[in-house]
Amino acid sequence: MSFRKRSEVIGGPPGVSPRTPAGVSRPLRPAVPGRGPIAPGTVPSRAPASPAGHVPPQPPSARRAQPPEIKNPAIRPSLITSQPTISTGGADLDKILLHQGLPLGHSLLIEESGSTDFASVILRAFASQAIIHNRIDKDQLHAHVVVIGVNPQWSNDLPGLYKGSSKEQKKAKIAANESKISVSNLANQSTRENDMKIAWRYGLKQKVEADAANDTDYTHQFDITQKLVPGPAATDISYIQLTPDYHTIIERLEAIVQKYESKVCRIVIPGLLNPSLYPPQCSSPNFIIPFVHSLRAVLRQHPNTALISSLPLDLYPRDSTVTGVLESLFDGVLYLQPFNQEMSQLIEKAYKNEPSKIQQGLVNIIKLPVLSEKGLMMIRDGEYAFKNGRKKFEIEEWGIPVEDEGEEKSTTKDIEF
Amino acid sequence: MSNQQQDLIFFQDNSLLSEEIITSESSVLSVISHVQGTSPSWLLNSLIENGLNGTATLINNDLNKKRSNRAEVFFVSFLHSKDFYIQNCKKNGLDLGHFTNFHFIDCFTNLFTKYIKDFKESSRGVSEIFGQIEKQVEAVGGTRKIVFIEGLELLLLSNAGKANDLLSHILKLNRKCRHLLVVSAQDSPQIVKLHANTTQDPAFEVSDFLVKLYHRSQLNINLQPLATGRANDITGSLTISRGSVPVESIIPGLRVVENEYIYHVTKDASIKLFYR
Amino acid sequence: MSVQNATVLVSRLVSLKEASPFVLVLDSLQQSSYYLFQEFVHRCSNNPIIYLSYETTNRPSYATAFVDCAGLLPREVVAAVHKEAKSVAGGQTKTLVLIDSLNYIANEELTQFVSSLIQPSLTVVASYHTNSPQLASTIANYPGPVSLLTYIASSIFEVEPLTHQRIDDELLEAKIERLEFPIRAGLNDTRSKVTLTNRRKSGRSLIYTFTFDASKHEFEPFKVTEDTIGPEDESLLKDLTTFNLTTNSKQRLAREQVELPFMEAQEALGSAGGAIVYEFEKDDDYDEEDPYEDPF
Repeated sequence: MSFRKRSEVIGGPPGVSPRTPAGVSRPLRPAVPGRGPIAPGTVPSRAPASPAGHVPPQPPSARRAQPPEIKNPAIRPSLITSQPTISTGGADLDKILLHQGLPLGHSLLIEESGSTDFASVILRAFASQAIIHNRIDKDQLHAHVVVIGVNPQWSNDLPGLYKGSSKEQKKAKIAANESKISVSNLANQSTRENDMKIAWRYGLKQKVEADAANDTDYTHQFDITQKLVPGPAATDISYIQLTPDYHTIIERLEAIVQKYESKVCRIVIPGLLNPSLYPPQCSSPNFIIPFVHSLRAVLRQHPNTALISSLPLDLYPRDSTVTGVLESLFDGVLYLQPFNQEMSQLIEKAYKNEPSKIQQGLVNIIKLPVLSEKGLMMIRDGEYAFKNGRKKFEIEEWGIPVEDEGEEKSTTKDIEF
Repeated sequence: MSNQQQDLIFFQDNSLLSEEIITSESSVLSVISHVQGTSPSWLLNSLIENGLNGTATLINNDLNKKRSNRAEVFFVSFLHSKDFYIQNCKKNGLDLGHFTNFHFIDCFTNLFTKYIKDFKESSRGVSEIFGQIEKQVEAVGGTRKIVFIEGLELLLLSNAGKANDLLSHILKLNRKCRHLLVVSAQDSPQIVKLHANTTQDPAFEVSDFLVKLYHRSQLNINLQPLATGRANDITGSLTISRGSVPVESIIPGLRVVENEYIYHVTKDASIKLFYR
Repeated sequence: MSVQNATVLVSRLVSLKEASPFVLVLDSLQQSSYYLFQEFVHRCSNNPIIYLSYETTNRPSYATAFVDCAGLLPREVVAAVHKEAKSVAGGQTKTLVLIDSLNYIANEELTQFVSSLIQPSLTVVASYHTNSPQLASTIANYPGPVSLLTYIASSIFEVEPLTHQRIDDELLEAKIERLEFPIRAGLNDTRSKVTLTNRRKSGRSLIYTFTFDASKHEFEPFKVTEDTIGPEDESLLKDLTTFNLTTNSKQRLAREQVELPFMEAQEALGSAGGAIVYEFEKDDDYDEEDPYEDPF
């Protein structure tokens, strides 16, 4: 996995964000302290919107022969196709997508049936992942989140980082107390930095390591019971409200995407066509199909974007035309199918001594980004199950649980006529 | 099931895009249909290759005589960008950017943001799109033209176009080339619902369109997952069947070879075909 | 006699010798009207032919006149036809007007279209594709296109594939519903099954079924047994395994002669409907005091 082999040159304007330190002309690749300049073109992402020959003028100080090449830690090459890929914020979800994440320029739809809403857990982690990426490097933004269709209160429900098991948390507290002398120093800096230092202790490797593949910056674990603290800043997240005319939404989206074109732009659409959010006209084929089709066009035109959305199947079943079209316009489609009561009871009974093994439902793969479009048959029905644990959204292979051997003794009693 | 790998052919002259059609004065129509789970892009890449230079390296070993500028190949897509085909055809050994006889007509990128903006005027937008397509086809000289068109069903499903209008445009386009291949999804009941009976149902127009299209077709190619369930070494089945209007009535002597294959595609674009 | 009548009738109709102003051909994706149309053309080689194209890309060589109807209003088509008819009129011979599909005309305009098209010097032969989804009429109670067309037609040809033994009917229907076309099932073949309904001037309606072979230009009365394979077709059993699953004729004869058990019993006692009748005999014992004793 050597990034040096790629020779595509990134053309792009210098970072718009005031946080970009002057002199860094390649904001897509944040500075890794201690590293010398890398040969140009090592970043595996395609050139963003501005084509070759269209590079806007850069500030004089930035026009160095070899600007310090830095890589966006949020992006890694896909395990399958080597194209630039970002983490969904869930390691198991990344794995099941085979690319180890969602490839840039592509979309993922999470369909869900039943009265549950596990999909929103996934979408929120996807957003939090971007915000965490912005906190890795001081004064260096790597990502931006655009949320469509909900109001900004949605930010309040974003999960924070998983801080480890209660044992690990106690250790952390002790360690923090021991370094109390430096806390007063820390107190002078922003609390945001504080958070980062603690998180830094829990698994992020030393930045001085020479390894370009800084694994633990790519993906993080999120805890749904922990709120993301501090909350996202205006530079982290934008909101676009729904309008009856899809053109307005698309135009606003393109404006934001272009503004942050040197960063990974994650687009989140929670609860597509949810009647509490979307007025009835939105279900009309005149709206929903051009809207989603135009989103697909935005994704293809702006290689710094990726999109995730969720769809309530009870309202728009899989055999309906709308869902059929959505499944063809989205690049990846997963179907979360919570277990019915019978199966839930069977599972609870089988694992009554091991509650951590209890699964909530199936994850059916309908379509995987890039691979399905190439012609591979990626449909996997009933092969995976999910567990919405506190520490993470787990996906594992599914098998109907066999009842515990301890139960067998009781059957002898039941054989009575 | 035979274990021997097969070459894919459509016509009895052992061809895919037959020379008889490209050199004729008539126009032939083929329908390539697929459902969710079995995308036809691997096949389209090979057919593009076959149209451009006569070979089909990944699906037919016999067709190995390269011939430059075999035909002008136009690819109209409402679903994918040019990049998609350029990237994927690399596996076929094609650098599409360097073929002067390959013309990608992008009806995807600005479809609903530029061409069809107002749905009250959508039929005008559709006419404009087809006008553009025809213009680009006519702008290229010669008569050896092959046109692929994919994703038309989106126009019908979004209610931007009506079946009869679209079919009228298709007829005109077909007459401007030798071989028109229409690629369409046909999942049932999402897209194909022959009992739909109201125009409120978006499946009505697309079902009407497909039935009428099939009635004009000379060659039908259908891809779908295995009916018997998933297998690790089989992607799906591919069926070649003759259309409602026999090709021999248009091109005397040419005949469709009906066949059912099972095929396997890997992520590295290695393709294997076997007789069922 | 009726066999002869049937073949004669269909020959006369297809060669336009039998007066029938509007001939409707009902076809489907399973078997298209193409071959039947060709038969009309074949037998009308001396008649002028006006071809109305709603969906035909290539002008047929036999067409004296070709009207491109896509995008035209029905009345425009009628006007064009009458114009062409005047110019190609061949004296005593009827002009054949072929319409590749009536599916492109709105239901409410269909009858008007057909009746204004009809003229004494013309025979209109039009095809209607039956798989097309039918729009419910905007006018309550108004019949659908197939009902309308079959009502006003003077002759109706229903074209069907000869799939009887090659594929299960239900399976075929399920596949066509999904627009999947099974191969080697006799679809869109030169041989097809044609059912003719001809309305006589007397009011009577004659219905005949034929096997039509387009390559031989022959209509033969349809025999059900003609393409039914014998109930003991063992060709399917031949190459399945290395065991011999077939029977030779001696074995078959022996099998036929085996007397099945209970056949006699079925004839004698079976007539009583399988009822078990208890006959009390001298050695039986009947206990009158037992309340659960079987009654006679």
